[in-house]
Amino acid sequence: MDTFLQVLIAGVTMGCIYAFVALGFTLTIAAAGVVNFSYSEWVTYGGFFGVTLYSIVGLPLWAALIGTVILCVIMGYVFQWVVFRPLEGRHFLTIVTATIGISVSMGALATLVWGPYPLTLPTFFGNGTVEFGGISFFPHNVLIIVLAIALISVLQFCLTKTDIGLRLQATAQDPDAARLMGIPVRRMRTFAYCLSAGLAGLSGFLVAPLFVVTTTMGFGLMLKGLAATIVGGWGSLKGAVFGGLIIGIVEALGAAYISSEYKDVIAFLIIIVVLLFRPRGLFPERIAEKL
Amino acid sequence: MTTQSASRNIVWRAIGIVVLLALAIALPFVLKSNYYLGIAHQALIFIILASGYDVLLGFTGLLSFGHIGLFAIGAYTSAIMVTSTGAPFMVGIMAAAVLTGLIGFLISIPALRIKGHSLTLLTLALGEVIRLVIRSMEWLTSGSHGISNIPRPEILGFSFRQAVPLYYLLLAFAVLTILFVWRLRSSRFGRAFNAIRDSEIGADVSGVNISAMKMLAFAISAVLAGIAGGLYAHTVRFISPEFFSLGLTIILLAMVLIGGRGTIIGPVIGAALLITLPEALRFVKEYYLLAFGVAIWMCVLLLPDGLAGLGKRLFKRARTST
Amino acid sequence: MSTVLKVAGVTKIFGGLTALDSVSFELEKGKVLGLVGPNGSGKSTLLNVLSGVYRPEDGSVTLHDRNVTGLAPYLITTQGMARTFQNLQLFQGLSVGDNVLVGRTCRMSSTLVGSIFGSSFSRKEEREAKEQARSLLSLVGLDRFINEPPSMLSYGQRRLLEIARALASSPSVLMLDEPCAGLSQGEADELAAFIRTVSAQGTSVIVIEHNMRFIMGLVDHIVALNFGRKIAEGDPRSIRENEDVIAAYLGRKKRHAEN
Repeated sequence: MDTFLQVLIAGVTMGCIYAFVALGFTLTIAAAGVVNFSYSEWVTYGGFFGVTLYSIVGLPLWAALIGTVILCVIMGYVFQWVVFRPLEGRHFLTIVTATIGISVSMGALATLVWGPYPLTLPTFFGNGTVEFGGISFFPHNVLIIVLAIALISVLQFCLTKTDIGLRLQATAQDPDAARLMGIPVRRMRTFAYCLSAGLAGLSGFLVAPLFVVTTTMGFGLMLKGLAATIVGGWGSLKGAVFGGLIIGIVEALGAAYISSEYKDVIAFLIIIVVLLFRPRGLFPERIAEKL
Repeated sequence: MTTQSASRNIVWRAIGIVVLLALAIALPFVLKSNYYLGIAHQALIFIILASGYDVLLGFTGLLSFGHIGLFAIGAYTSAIMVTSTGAPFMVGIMAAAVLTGLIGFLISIPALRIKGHSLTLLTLALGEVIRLVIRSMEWLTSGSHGISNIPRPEILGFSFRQAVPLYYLLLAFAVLTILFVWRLRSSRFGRAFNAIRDSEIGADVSGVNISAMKMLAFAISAVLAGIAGGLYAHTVRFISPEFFSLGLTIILLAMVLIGGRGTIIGPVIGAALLITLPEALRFVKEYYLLAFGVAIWMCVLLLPDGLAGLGKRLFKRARTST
Repeated sequence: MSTVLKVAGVTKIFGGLTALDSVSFELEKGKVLGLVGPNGSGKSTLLNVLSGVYRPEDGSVTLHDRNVTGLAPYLITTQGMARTFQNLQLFQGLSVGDNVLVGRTCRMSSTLVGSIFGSSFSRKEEREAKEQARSLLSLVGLDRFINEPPSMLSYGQRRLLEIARALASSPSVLMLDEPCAGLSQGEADELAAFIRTVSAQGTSVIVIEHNMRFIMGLVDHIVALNFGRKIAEGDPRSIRENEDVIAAYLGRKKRHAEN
């Protein structure tokens, strides 16, 4: 039972990270119709920014976290003007290939800047485990879960209750109608790109202490994020969160009780099964139909 | 007037083909070192792979990210057949072609029901599952250690151990592939593939059996991937799961797109370019990748028809201005 | 005259909404039938059912005494019913000539191996298909564009190309969905003349069209629909004087004009 709970906590932790990645990935799909395959690198850059600000600049960890998110938001802002705007409204094949190209370039740039060797980032709480009620766990995992709950609640509130959130939703559902209603669609999309990039920075920073920071760090996470968007429903924000959690938990349980050797296969098998039997995911959104 | 310029186009095209073929035949006399010939081997294998991929992507308009998985299955099938059962090279290649063709056909069945991004992600997942299963099935594939000492091809007692004979063997396979794809495109099947790409509903009411044609396109490109995989295994003599990664899928996609999808010459140019360029620019490796990524992005935006399309346009402009 | 197509009690329901309510009519060989009715009356839905794009909930479509109800579009085309679209569905990446050749696919039977190695059968079949395509294109006046992409054609020419593609399958019934949309009056007159030539050669034609002048001058027989029901059927003159039709269609149009 105790090991089960420990496995569950590990699964939920990774599930929260996957949910962040899937959310960021979904945001640009929903708001601008851009499937951003370079999102893996955005996450990687989050990790590298964190390492740079903490180890090289020497900022305290919490300041490094905030700095990382800010740097990523700036990156998202710049990238949307240079890279993504020309892609909006293009064919799926065009968007996928172009963003893959960007991903290759960003990966190469990361190797040039930070080198090919893995870097590390400490947690806020050291490396020890905490015992609580007979189970031991890393406080960093709890931080991730708490942050995820808080952030997703805030996001949920902002998107459904605030002015800017409702405008963003309107933009996602029908950009032409939104434009006619006087909603600044361009600014809404900019906002979505920045939010998406900020989430990437946060995911990269939070996941760094669990693994190491390398140029390929984001790639595996993006594949899991993709799996989450398929399971949850393409273009659905709610689906991204639940899809991420499902992938994380199933993966952890599968690795613990079935075979750790086939751990990486699990996410892909889930993609295949869901696409075959429920091609629109568990929480299909209307906006998905536009794609 | 139109027929006249059309026949003149055919003459130009024939000249181009003869020149290219002559260059390809003459290449081993220029490239003396085994290192350069090794690069040429790779280019020829990827010409076969990219031409087959174009049947799916360029002809039929289906974006699969799992093609490298089929390439891997082809390589492993032939390698295992030949190293563990001692089967002749041609039997290994044929087994690779049949098995991948069968798997391509099986993949196409679910792929008929889903479209667009779902198809792409489904094939991405399938390709990754193939790679991970190969890595995990150690009893058959020796896992991440890979299979080494795969013998070079030998057909009816004639050995292709040396780099130059092997070059001509691969060239023969590549030329046969290009001929096949060229004949395919001008047949009723090739037209049906193109019709599906441009308008599925239009093709349907024009009497094209869409399901059958998509299955055929998947199977054909899978068979070519299998043959290319088998040739790869016996050329490089060492295969491991890490080589058949998503990164290679991206390179394959870039070959077809930069060369020009839906054309015969496009994948040939693309494969030759993207195999030789990184070797030529080895000393600036990361800078090469940096430029490569931006080149893909620009190519997609500015050259939707790739280099083949650009060449065609320049050729037309030169002709009309004179 | 022999009956080519028999439509009996065709019903199509979209999520509780009856788009077609037990529509029946017959079409004779070499005749031109006009389908008229106000927007949303079910004309296009009927054409989609006939061509296999939609599957009807009830009723039957019989072509040459063969039941073709609910078959896939390509099978219906193979059986001898071809159609065009109101919003064109041409193959932009193929030449004008190849667009027509695709329409011939279902009449060709050479195998993949035969096509690749150029067996005498496949070469003969290919040659005949190309001859047919060329003669169809010269019939619609597009033969000089045979090697050009469809994007080189004017809007009216594209409509003609789509008709040529449909005719390439040698259909016994040709179905045209608003063939005059976007054409000038002169082009529409030419199109009407062309459709008459086609029907004189024994192909039956079904036309959906809003252009009343076009319809009245062209067709032998009219089926009028409103709210998915057949409200009248007869020769053009009787339809023009039919009070139900005037109320449903012309009347409504008049009211629009007054507004």
